[in-house]
Amino acid sequence: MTTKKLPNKYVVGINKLLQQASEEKRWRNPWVIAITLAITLFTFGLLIVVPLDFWSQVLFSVCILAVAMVIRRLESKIASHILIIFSSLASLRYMYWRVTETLGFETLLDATFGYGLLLAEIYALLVLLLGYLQTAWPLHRKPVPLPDDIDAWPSVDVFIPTYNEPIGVVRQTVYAALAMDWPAEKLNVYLLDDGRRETFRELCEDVGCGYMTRDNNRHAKAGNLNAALAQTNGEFVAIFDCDHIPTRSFLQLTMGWFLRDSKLSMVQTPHHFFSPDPFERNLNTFQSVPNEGNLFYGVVQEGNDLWNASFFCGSCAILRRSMLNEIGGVAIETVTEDAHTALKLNRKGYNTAYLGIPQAAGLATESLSAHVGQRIRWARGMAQIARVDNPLLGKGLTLGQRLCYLNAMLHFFFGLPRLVFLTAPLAFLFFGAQVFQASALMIAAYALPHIIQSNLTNSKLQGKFRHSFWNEVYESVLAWYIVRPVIATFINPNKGKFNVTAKGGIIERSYLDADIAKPYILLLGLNLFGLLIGGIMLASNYDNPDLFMTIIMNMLWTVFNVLLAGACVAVSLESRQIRQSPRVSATLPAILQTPDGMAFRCDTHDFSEQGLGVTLPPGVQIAPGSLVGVTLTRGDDEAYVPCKVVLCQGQRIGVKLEPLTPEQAFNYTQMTFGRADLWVDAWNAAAPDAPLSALRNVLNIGARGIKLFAKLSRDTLTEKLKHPGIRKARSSSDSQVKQP
Amino acid sequence: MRALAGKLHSGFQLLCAVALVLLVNTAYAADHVEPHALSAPEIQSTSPSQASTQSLSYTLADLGQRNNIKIVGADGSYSIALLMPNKIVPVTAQLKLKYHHSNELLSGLSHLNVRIDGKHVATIPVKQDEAGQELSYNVELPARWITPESRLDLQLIGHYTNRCENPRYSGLWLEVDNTSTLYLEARPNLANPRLDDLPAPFFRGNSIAQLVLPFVLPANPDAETLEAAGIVSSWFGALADYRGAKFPVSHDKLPETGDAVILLHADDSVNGLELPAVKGPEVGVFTHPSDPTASLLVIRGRNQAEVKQAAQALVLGDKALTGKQAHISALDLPEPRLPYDAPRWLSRHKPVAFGNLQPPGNLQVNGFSPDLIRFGVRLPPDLYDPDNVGALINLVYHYTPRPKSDASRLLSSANGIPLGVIDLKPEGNPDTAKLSLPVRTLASQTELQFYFDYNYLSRENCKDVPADTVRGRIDPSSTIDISHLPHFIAMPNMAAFANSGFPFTRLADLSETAFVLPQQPGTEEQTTYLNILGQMGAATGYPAIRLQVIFPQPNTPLPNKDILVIAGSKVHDVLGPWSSALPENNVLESSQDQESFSLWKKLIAYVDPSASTQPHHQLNHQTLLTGFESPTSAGRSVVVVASANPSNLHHLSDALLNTSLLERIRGSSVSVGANQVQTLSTQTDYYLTDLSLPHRIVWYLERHPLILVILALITTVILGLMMYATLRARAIKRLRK
Repeated sequence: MTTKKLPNKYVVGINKLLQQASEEKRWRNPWVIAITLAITLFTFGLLIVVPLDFWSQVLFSVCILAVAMVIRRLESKIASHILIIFSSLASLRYMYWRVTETLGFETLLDATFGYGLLLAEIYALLVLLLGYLQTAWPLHRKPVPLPDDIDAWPSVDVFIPTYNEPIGVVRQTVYAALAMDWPAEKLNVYLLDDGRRETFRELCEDVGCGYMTRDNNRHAKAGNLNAALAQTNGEFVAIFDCDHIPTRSFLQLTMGWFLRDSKLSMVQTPHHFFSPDPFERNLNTFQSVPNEGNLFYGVVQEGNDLWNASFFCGSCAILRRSMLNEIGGVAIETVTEDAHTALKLNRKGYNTAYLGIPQAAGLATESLSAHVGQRIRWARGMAQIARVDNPLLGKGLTLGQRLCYLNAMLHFFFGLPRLVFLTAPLAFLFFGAQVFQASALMIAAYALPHIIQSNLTNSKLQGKFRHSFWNEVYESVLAWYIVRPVIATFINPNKGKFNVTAKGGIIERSYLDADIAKPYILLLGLNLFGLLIGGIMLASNYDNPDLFMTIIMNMLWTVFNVLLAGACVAVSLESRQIRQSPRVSATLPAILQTPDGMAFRCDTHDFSEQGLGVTLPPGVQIAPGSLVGVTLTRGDDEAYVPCKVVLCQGQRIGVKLEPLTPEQAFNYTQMTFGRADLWVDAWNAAAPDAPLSALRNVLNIGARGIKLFAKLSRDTLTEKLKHPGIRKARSSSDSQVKQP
Repeated sequence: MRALAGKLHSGFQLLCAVALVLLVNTAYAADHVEPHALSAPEIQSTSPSQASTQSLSYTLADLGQRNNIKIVGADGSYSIALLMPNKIVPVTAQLKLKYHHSNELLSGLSHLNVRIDGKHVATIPVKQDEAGQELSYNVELPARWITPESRLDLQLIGHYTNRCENPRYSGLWLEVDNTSTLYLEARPNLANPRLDDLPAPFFRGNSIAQLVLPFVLPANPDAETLEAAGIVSSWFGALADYRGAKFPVSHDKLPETGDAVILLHADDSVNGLELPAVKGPEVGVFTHPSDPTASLLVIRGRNQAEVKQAAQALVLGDKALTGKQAHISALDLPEPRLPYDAPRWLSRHKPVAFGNLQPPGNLQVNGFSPDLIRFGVRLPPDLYDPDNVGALINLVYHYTPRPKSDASRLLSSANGIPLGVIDLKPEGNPDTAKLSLPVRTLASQTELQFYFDYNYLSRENCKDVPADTVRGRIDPSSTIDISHLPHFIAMPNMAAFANSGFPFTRLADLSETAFVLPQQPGTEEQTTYLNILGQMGAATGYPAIRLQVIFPQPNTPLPNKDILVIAGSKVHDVLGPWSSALPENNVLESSQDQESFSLWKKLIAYVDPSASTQPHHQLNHQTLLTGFESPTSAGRSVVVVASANPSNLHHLSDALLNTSLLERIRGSSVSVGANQVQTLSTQTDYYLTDLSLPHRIVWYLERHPLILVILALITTVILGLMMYATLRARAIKRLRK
């Protein structure tokens, strides 16, 4: 990993030089700025449009790339910014060349595919450039200390909306919310139960939590919150989804900014998940590869914060009631009420902020289909906002805010372009369509710098939060499912319904979610077939170097698409998930009391809602089935839970909680999920990006998917031969397993 | 990927290209006969007595047939332009054909038809037993049918069998000797010129011969009179077009015989010519006093200004020009021309329809072996096409639908360079095709050629020999477009000057051109001046009505115009003040001497070889054509025609009219001698362009990728730093809240 090497003295020197140059006082003279900007922008324009022949373009790109490779080793934002400009240059050069030199289509077929691909590329370029703007400077806000005078602390209502989630999930959240460090008289926690369930009411009564219901379920979560807003009056409103367990420090860390900035209307914190999402579970990448959400909470929201465009994500956030009331409560016009609410606040001229410290954690979506469903909702909501309250139009936003919201919205239109990229080379391999009116070598000379530079730059910008090539995997999985709803919603924004994301399930055996994998299998099959055709074309055109290169180029692209499609298939193989409550790795101090009255100081190695993993001190042995007591400690606080040993592996034992009293359960939650610093380490745990190893990683996953595909087709074939018609029965049994 | 489709057909295309080139070449040989001199028929009766007839004879070789004429096929034909001079009226005409033929031609069935302008004159039977012998046959031609435009057609009806035949059977041939002779008895055609007929009789469009039109000027003409003469010569040059024109100058004296143009001031007279008193600007036509077949065009006024006005009225086709003599009362000059709007140049603004370049009748052909459809287009010489996009042709063509997909094709070429081969499909008629004309490799005078190559369906057993009814037509709505090409040219460029009169002809009326001639220019300088203007007129198709002539005066600055210096030996007088400002010039001709010469030194060496340190005796017979940027006004060009001996100047005029010599005029300095052209230097010193500054920078950077890299690094780093500084300031502000 080159980025980890200690920078040598030259690198340090360059860095220092750049730093000094950026701090030069003359930059503050507006004339100097204006003139320099005018000249450099003019030159930049020239650099984009100067046409070069093949070798000159190669020379140009290689030189720039060589400099980029040095610069990316600098640990500095200046380096990122220079890389951004490099990448913009390479990409804009490519696009200019693309538009001016490669579009002389001769047939309708060529033109159809050619312009289709061009539009997809323009979209990708736009999102790339907006992304640079959005993430150029992650703000990394620090918490502001609260005043010593506790009387000056404002009152907070905590809302926990729920609809159909199981009580086990909700209980932890309620306990943790109640236990947050805040003056008790200024903290009111309400469970907002749209399911109107008696057990939930009892739970609340037991621990002294507010319980609210309403007589209808209009506008789903947004309506639920608005109904609660009408009945409460705390100065601030903290909102947690019922499966997001807050830590005790949540309010103390976040409230400071409200006291410092009187126009601040919302502070959002990351959504952290202690269970693997379907990608992580099915690809076995939990905590080794940053998950799909990490990019958003690690980079995008931080970057948005610079432009005062961080948006509300529905949970783990605090809003100022007065300002929320001013915009009429939580927005109800769209299915992504959260982002829309933030947009409305920003339009009123209020600030929003993001504090990148995980202060709550929850369960990730349990299956790929649920995950896809959730993303469809987000995509749909964004398309709705684009139609009903477009951030480019209307009053009250700064340009930076408009562009950040625009990118948030545009992002969800990736479906169609991604599908175009996944099938573009097939237009040539199947139909002989000439989508580029240029030689393969020229295409390579212009397109490769664009691709390489943008990957380098994004690797630098996103590093720990999104590894190279994973974006392609995440997008490819969702593309098929997101296309139709987004387009339909964009055309008719009023057709949207809220679907609740199911969480906390078990999967008893691994199975291929055949329903959801269908498009990937089709894509994979098509691309493999394309490779076959390409091979045949190669064999019959070996004496035509131009055509040969063209075929090779299309086949390389197809190989990449095969791997992506393979990765999609691999993702849709739902792997076993036995434990209903996922474990969180954590070393917590504990005291173990054996049945014979002995007590040992020991540490946990993990915990879950229903049990603990305990590492025994050397020499201590406990038989499975023994009843033990575990006392978790935190400073002076402690929580006792009775347990039963269920598993012994050397010094590591697994204990299952015995039935707890509400008080025990409450204390247990405080000592475990409610710990302030619990999630911070996990948040920063992922390895930084190394593009080549990320590529290898993705290749392996793709290969796994292809193997799966091969096995599947073999099985299907043999089954078809043996028992025609059995396949259908099997896939319906699959879908039963899916619903636990 | 564009290459893909092309490569698949490349072999086939090559074949077609070869076929096309062969075809074009044979057609070229057939049509481009060397124009025979009108003035030199074999006149046997030497006394030009007016009433008596004279006997004339022309061999077919005289008429341009350099080789014997071979007629092949069952229905082969050949056409010969007779090119009779205007000055005679044939009284009797007899054609003595000498020929021999194949021994497979069947007697009785086979014969040779002779026609004049399509009208049948005689049928010559072909006898099989005479095969191989030199035969001769006298054909009496009806003399009244023979006009200057007449064509003689020979048609072979050939058969080798009574049964089923292949009309293209190779045994069907007959060869006519080019020593076959046309004998004429003719009387002189008395001149009766009228202004209404202008430009006839001085120029007739049906002639294909070079125009030679003597000019009679006053002795020591002043600048304005020369301007008037130049306007007229450029007009005749424009009319003569590709034929070329020469304007030998004489002073105060009529040529013995032949047509002439005369420019006169009020008091001047020309020997033997009686003219009425002049009352203002006047144009008149008169019969030559000593040659009743010849006409004189007289342009005169009471002063120089009126002469010039009369000349302008003449070339602009004033309404008053009727009868024998016209008085020009008032003359409104048209608006000055705009750059690059010469009538013969393709428009720089929009696509040009073929219908505007050529009458529709010339765009269609018949038969299985049709003629070429061909016409010339002139491109501005400074088109800039770095990416070889070329002039874009959007071709719309009609053809006789093919019963099935066969090898019938439409071949396109430009100056013999293949542009494309288009298959004629069974359906899709009319069809369109896009062609690109490579302007980089083409001369500014380009001939577009289209050939409908129908596949002849030869069938077994002659069941049905298809009738020769196929047609091909290029639609007049087809267009050629150069509007996307900017103008950019490295100067000096003598090829552009020689072929197109560039840069002077950028404005077709030469409104930004000054001809600089020495004080009291000699006859040779004046002739060269008129000839060059004739060439420019031919290039633009427009008379040089706004040209300016200057005799340089000491201490008088030259105008801010493009300057054409015709200096003879008096280059000192003209260019002396600039001698030190002329650029250094590389010298190609003296490889042993590497030192760099001032262009001035070279000029001097040319005009005054004795002053040169080097043995330049051969320079005595050379004319130097060179150019440089005006030392006083940037972007203005100076072209110099200089020679030690003014009598050498005609070499340049000759070279400009000789296709093979013209092709060799290249580079920035050229030495022209008798039948030889040598490039002395290819160094270019400046650029003429309508490219904007950014485009010029782009042009430069394209050629210097390393500078582009450096520029890119500087720019990106500065932009990166600015981005950093801006965002940091913003971040600090955000966090201070």
